[in-house]
Amino acid sequence: MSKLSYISPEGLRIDGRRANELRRINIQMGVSNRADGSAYYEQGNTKIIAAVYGPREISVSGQSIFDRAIVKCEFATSSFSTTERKPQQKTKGDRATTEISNLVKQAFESTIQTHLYPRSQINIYIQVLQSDGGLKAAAINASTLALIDAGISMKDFVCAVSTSCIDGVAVLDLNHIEERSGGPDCLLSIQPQIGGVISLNMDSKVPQDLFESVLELGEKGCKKIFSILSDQVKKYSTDLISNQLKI
Amino acid sequence: MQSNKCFYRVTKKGTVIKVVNEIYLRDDIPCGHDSCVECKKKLEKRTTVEDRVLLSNEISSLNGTKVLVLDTNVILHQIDLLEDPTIKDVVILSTVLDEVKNQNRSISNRIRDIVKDADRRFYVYSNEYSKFTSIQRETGETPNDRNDRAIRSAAEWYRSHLHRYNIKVLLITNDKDNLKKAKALGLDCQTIQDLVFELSDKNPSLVDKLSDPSEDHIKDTDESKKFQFLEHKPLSVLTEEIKNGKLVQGVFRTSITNYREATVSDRANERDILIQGIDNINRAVDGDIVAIELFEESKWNAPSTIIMLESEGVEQDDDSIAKDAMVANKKPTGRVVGIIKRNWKPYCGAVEFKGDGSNQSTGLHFLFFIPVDKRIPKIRIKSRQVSNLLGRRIVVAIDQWDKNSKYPSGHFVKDLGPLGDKETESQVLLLQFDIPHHPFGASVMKCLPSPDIMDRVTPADMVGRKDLRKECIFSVDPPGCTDIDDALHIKELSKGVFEVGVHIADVSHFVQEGTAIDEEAASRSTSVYLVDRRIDMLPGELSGNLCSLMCNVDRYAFSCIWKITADGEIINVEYTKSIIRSCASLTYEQAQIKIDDKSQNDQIATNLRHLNNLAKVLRKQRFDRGALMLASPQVKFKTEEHGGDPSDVEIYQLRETNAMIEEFMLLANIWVAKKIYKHFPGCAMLRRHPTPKKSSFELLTKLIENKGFTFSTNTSKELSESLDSCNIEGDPYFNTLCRIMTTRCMSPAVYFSSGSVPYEEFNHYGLASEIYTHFTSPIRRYPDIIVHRLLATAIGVSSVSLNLDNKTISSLTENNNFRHKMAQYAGRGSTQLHTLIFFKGRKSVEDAYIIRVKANAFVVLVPRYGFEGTVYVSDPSKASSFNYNHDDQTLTNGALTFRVFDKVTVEIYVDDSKAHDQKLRINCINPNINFIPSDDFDSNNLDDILNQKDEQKDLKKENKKEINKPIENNISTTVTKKSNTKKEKDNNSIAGKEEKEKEKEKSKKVRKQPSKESNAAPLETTATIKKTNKKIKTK
Repeated sequence: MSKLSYISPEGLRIDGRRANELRRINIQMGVSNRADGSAYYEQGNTKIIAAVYGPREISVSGQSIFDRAIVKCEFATSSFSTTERKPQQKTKGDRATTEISNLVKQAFESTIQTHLYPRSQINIYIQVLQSDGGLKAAAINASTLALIDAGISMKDFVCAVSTSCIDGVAVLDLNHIEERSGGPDCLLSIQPQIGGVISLNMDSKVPQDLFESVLELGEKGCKKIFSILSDQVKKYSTDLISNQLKI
Repeated sequence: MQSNKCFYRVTKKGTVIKVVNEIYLRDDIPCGHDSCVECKKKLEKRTTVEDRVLLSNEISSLNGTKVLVLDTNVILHQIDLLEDPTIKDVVILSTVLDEVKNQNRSISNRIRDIVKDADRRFYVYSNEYSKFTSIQRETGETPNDRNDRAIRSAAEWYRSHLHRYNIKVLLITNDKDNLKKAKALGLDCQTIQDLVFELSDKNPSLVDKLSDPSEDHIKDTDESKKFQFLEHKPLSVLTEEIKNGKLVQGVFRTSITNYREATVSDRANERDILIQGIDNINRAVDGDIVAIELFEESKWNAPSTIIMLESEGVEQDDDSIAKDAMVANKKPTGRVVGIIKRNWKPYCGAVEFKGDGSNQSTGLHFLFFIPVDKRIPKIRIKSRQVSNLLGRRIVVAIDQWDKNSKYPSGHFVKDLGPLGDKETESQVLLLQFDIPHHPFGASVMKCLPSPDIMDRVTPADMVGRKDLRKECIFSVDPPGCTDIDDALHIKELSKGVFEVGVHIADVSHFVQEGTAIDEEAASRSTSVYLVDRRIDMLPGELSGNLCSLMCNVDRYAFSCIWKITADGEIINVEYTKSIIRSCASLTYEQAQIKIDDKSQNDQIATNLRHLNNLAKVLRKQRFDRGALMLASPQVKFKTEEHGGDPSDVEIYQLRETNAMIEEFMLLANIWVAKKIYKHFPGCAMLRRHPTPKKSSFELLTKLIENKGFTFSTNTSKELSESLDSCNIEGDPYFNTLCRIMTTRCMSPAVYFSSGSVPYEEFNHYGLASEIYTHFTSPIRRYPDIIVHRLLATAIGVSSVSLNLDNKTISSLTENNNFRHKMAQYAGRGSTQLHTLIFFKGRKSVEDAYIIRVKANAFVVLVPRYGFEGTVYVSDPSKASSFNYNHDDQTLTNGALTFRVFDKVTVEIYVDDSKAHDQKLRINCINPNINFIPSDDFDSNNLDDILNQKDEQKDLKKENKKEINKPIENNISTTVTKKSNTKKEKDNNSIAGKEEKEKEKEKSKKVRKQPSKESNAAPLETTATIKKTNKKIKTK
């Protein structure tokens, strides 16, 4: 039996949310002027900056593909992002970060309309400022916003959320305490408007009878995130337009 | 709304880190009162119908006009009181729950159980997550103060929230400071005592359940004369000193035969440390985790050889006993200097009332409670209803044990029934050995299939099952057996080659992994057989019907089918799930008659004979390998009517057919063990019987060799042969006695997971088998269910479960071993109880054999009734007229010598002089010993008489003082309130002041104890860290 009880019999989690509730999401777009597109994304205490460069010329010749663009992703956690300091080691290039960058890369390779940008590359840089669980999902959401800010054509948004089941209850959007509960960490990313599933990663096993409800909850969560993101994007673009009109 | 909870935490390495956790404050947490519409509306807006349906199962709501809000210390101290159904409409705050959980996990579970009960109307309000009641800790505020403030803030919110519905909110706290502050806020508040006295008009027993930790201690002016224990060291000092090796930590185990002696096992050095004498035991109770200080080697001692079961007074002449008991093999000794964790449980027992009950039937009294478990000291309890407690079996919980009190003090929890009543005493046994015997819960019963499921077997059910309904399968069991879990068949394939099938009830088909029924079965782990009842592991519908392989019905089974030659050589084995239809349920006796009666030649009779012949062959093979034939005294009680008192006792008769069935069960178990080990080398559930150490046989070898036999214990085969040779002409019981005593020398067989023990240690010594498991009784043993699942997976009919690894299996085996042991103890206890009932009102003279000799007594076994008892030859504290020789195990007094294996004649009768402690007395009448223990054993001892007088004086003194005590005062005021004098009220508050002061101290103490086991961050560190931070800054 686990020492901590992750969900009280009253139905509240350790941080006071119900099982099907997301954390508070805060967004700011266009935070970095130098990049072609950028976004600051906050989900609970997880804070992330994503920047997009491109489409631009292929940096390493020979990698170019004649009929479409390539997507590159670099993911890094800042050394001050977690409470417990490990001795300073490489913040990129280890297994966990490589995994996340590959995940982001794959998610967007299939969503960006790469055929519009032949023989070019698109770089996504993700930097974690503060980490409090749900890094993969936050990285994907932040990248979506940065790509939109960069004006790169995409088929749809990509919205991701982490789900799990703790003590037999499907739970949405884990924070770092819940991530350590030993339950399965299941990342779902979807294209909310087209309705396609981009990726579904599971760290450990999910009992078969619970899988349906976990998946369903994840989908609901993604849709909710989508509505928040699209609202913000609309607001940001109206601001941009009104600014331009003023000038 | 969102806020951050941040605190500092010290990591394992000792570095300080800041932890920040997000907290979401909500406005939709309902107050939980039925008449509040506003909260319900809010909740409905935020949640879906399904969410609410899910929740409403677990949450009960309030509906009274008075709502109680409890403080932490009330729950911690008064949990027994809260479990009383009179108390209703209570709000438990999440702050309080967290605090309770950190302090005491078992109380936390108990309060959770109350909350689940809808009739009790206990409601958990998550005040920490509510926008209205959540508070931040202020600088300089201690965590305790912050929590107190949170409780007050929640109570205040409740008051203002429920005000419009005219519902009164009452804060119950025993913390004086909290009470004062709450009053200042204008809250209605009360101590739990006041509340109980208000309620006690309707229910007087409530007062007894009130635990009173703040009890005043009689300050004796003459400190030197007053009995006093050594002060316990505080936990922080203990942990420090354990770390640097000054102290040893271990579990305190009181000796079963001598309450003044205990052992603590020192794991690091793999030795047992002996604790002797009341002073050194220093208030430790069996099961506590204690810290002990070792004595220097000159003080090391050997365990006492005296049997001392009566906990009468504290004797001063401990040394003489110690000298008496001095023998060669010394053990390290020590004394308890501190308690790390108490293991106090509720204890069963009865009160001992020494005063004359005539004129004291009302008012508050101190009583001594004597637990059934002899290892637990007497407990002092207070009661207003003495007459209701006398002659009853009651449950009492310990509250505390002060350093200047000889006995711990406790409070009444529950009345079980009249003393000596069979029903009550069986109840006591179940509680004492911690056997879960509550009826199966609704969630468990929901897992049951419909009772007629076996009449509707569809082809889909038959997938992976072999249809064996055509075979002639029958079962052989004891008479009256309803849970038949094994059946057999045999078929002659060709001359000298047989097909033998063992069919075991397919319980795992009905008990699917992870279901409520599975969890319940896992925690019960075994069915418990008492003389007059059975406590099932599975609900009766399964154990007595659907799984039971009764005759003439279709049943699912798990079959093990061998091809075997007449010489017992196994050619082939097949494991399969099957469906069978037993054609006969025989008793051992019926089967025996069928075999013996040559005139019966039907199919069953011939098959039985084949099986019997084959069993004999297998049996011989097994004994040739070195299997032991052991014995234990087993008796059967005959009752006149069903459920009545025993009218006769007879030795359980073993027939050839018993051995026959046993043989095939062993065969099945061994073959299944091989199979599952092959497929799951890391996590097979197996059973082993460790090879006993040579040293454990030393004494027995000597004793048997004294009798003129050679006794070799090198291998099980040699042992078996030696045992066969131990025969005395004209004394057929001697051989059985040797076997019984050999059994006692060996450690019991245990379940284990194959991944946790090297293969060489898998062996089962008693059966002389390399590998063994339990497969054949899944209805009454949980390990068998696991083995069934493993086997089903191994043969590919079911899929591998998620949590199949060494660790889970190991933890299962641990529980199984524990429950198995407890079930055996309870079974034995039940036999003892029935023996006692049987002997009530009769005196019997019987032959008996001495099986153990101690310095002041010897233990005899009475073969006729299969029980053993102690015969005292002298008083433990007096110089014995007998000479005790430890090496030879003899007691000599002139020409009279008592040796082990001696046959004596004893007189057996029930000693009912002490109503609370009836027991069988055994006196030796041939040879006659002059020493006959009088009614009160220890009253022979002058010192003790004095002690008792002192005790009674103390009691009287305490009773007198009691009148001046605040509690008494409270009562008197409530009683006389009707006369309505204001003075008295004032008196009350003044007198109550002192008490509350104490109470507060106590509650503080409780809170401040750093919670060692809990995972939560020790909040106390914050202050110091801040200081260090400041220092750094100034630098």
